[in-house]
Amino acid sequence: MHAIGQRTQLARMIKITGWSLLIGAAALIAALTLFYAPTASDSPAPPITWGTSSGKVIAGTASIVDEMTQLALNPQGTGVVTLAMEPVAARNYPFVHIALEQASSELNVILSWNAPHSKGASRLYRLENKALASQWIATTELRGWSGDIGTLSLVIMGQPGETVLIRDFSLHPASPWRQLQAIYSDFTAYTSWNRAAMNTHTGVINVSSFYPVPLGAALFLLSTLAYGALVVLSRGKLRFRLVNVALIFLANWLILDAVWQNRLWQQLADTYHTYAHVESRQRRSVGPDAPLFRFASQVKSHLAEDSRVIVASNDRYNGMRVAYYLYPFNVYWSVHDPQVPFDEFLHAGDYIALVKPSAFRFKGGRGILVAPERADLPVELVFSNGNGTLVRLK
Amino acid sequence: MPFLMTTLALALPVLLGSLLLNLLVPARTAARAALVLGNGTLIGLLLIPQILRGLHALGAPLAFLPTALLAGALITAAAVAHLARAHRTELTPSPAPAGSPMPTSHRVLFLFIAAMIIARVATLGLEILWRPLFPWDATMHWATKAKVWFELGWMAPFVENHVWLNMGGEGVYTDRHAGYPATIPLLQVWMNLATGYWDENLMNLPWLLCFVALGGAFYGQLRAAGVGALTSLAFTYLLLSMPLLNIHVALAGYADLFLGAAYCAGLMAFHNWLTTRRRWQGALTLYFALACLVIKNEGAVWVMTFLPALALSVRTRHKVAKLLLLFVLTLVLFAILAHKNPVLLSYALTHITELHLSGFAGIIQAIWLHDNWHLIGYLFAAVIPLGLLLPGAYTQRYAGLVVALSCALGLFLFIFLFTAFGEGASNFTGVGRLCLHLFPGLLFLCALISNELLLRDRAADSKFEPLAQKM
Repeated sequence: MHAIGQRTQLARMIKITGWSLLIGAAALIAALTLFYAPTASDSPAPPITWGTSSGKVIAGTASIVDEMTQLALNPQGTGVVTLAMEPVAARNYPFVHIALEQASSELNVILSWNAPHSKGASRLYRLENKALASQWIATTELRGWSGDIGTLSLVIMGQPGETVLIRDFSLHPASPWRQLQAIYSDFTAYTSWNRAAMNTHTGVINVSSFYPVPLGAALFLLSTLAYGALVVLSRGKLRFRLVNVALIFLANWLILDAVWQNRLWQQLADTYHTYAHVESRQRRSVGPDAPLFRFASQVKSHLAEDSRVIVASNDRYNGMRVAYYLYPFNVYWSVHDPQVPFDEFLHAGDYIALVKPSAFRFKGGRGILVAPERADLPVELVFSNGNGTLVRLK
Repeated sequence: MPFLMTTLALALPVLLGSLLLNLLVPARTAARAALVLGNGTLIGLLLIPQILRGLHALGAPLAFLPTALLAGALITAAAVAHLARAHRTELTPSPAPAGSPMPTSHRVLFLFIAAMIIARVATLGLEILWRPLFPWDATMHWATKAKVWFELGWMAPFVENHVWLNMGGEGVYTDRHAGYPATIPLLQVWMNLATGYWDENLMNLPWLLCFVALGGAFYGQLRAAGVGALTSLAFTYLLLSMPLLNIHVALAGYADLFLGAAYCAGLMAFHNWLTTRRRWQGALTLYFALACLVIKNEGAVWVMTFLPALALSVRTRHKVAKLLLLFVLTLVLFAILAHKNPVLLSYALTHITELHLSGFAGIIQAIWLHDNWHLIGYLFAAVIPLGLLLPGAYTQRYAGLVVALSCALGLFLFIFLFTAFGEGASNFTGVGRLCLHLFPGLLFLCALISNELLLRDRAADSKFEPLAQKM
């Protein structure tokens, strides 16, 4: 009997929490679409959709595959398609939809637009969201999306000959449904780890319209209010119980966490794709640091066991990473002091690894290292390649 | 072979800490397994580097076998002592621990939350296993030392850049923060010594272990504080699903996760020691407080927060004696701090500035706008004021915890609002990581208050139910 009573109580609790969440969600959706949606124009603007007959291929080669446009990138690894349209008012088109298939995560996709008859530089937005299968972009968040738009292009950069299926590329007028789709796209956006990842996780990309956390808090507040209202309307049959509020809070947390978990899974798939096929000790030879690692490995092959090596670079990240790869050799790399220490601290035989970009220049003909605002250093070249140069002090 | 050796390198700290703690924790403690394994693993993870260091100080090179043998000897001794005690207990059997079984519905929810946690651990673990060392500071001043010490087989000294230049680099190395403690690099050295080669994936597995251990310790200490199993697990899930905490596991290599875990473990044990006066909780507090000092320099600041709370807890009627004790303890800590890290102290004293409003905006954004911690900022904002409705909560039952956390929050705000480090809040480079040190402890306080609120509400509900049924 006791167990049945508990089950009934739990069922009632879940039911009331569920209703509270549903009402809260409905209120939040209504608020988002009524008060925060872009204003629709007086005369409804029709959507403008990409098609081989209603658009232009500027770079690459287009063909039709399964009723979609297959774009093969040109020998420079670029494909450009442009929507065929008359000049339109930017504010009448607050949403762009882009849906690409067979697009690798290394692909760079850029949205480019111009004012009519403009001879100036195009406005550009590089899509941060790597989930390219379908994404809605709120153009109100794009810097420079104003006035009239004469041309709108999609620039795709990847490997030469790489093919991408364009399922949709279109401009859309304001509508509550598209507003919700844009919010959903923002929430499911995926960007790979960046250098600031250890310090902050904003949960948004540059074109997101809303931060997920305040929305989650708003949903919690509205659901709790809805729960309070249900209690009041029950005329004494229900009592306001904190455990229901706790369940509402937990449900909101789970929603936010599902968004985060989804992002983690996408990241994991990306990480797997990049590294998992490589033996763990060789993983530095793939991924974004590979050129720096190769350069450092090459430097190491020229060093004796007791060599001192000074790493100089104008790019703090590049310099720091190469210095790390050079350990356990005796490495000097400094953030705030001069990249190459003053002459009194240098010894003949010291190596200097110049990691690009660097203010130091090796002048082969004269056998010197030239740097701004300091005396030239007599050096001999050990090797030089696209990532940097290794010299030895004479 | 690398798999076996990695497993051994991970198992030894778990066994070492857990079996030692197992000797201290009474048999009938709630959620004993989680408590012992969670805290024990944290103890072991922080103890192994000290053993490596100790043996090295005695002249031994950094090597896996001697450290493993010493750890193994301690494990064996702890296991034998446990078996001997178990044998004695068998002769005088004690009644089985009493506890009401969890209703099926609660069990389903419990299992659901546990599954969510397990899924998270798997995701983060695979990221560690596949991605080579990624984060900035990890390759700037943590793994640099680990790599040199592992390759050389001894702890070559690291000095600041200018010292290196003056010495011509003779017998010394340099990196961005030469003065940071050796514990975390030595933990990476330990993992690499096990496999025998430098492996940037396997060496970071202790971060995953630390994450799981923090969860176990959090759950165990909540249960030890009298919180129900479901509520404890729900709060453990909140803790383990916070994005920035997850990131510090997935992109392992920073010391902040260990510092946050040690400070939280210390605070939890401190609270339970104050309320139960059990010596093993006191010992845990002391261990984790000292551990904070050897993980990261900022740990010294957090250790200071225990002092006022400790002074409050002394059972004396003389307020003057309490204040005197507080004063002496503070002096001792400052002396330690000045000796251990004069740079940090001089920084604190010379970098005081006027109020940084931008720092304030940064803190607000990091906690209530960005998704660093999901809804935790809102939870704190709701639950902590509600705690005022509980008579004696802040002045008696949770006084020690509240004083320590208030001091920590005061220092946190002081650092970002009144020192040159305010930039770390306005540009988000520092605020998130300092939150990582504090938020697990704050969440523990929130869990205790929430539990009490829910229990009071349920008690009121049981009075209401008969009335409702009559209607």
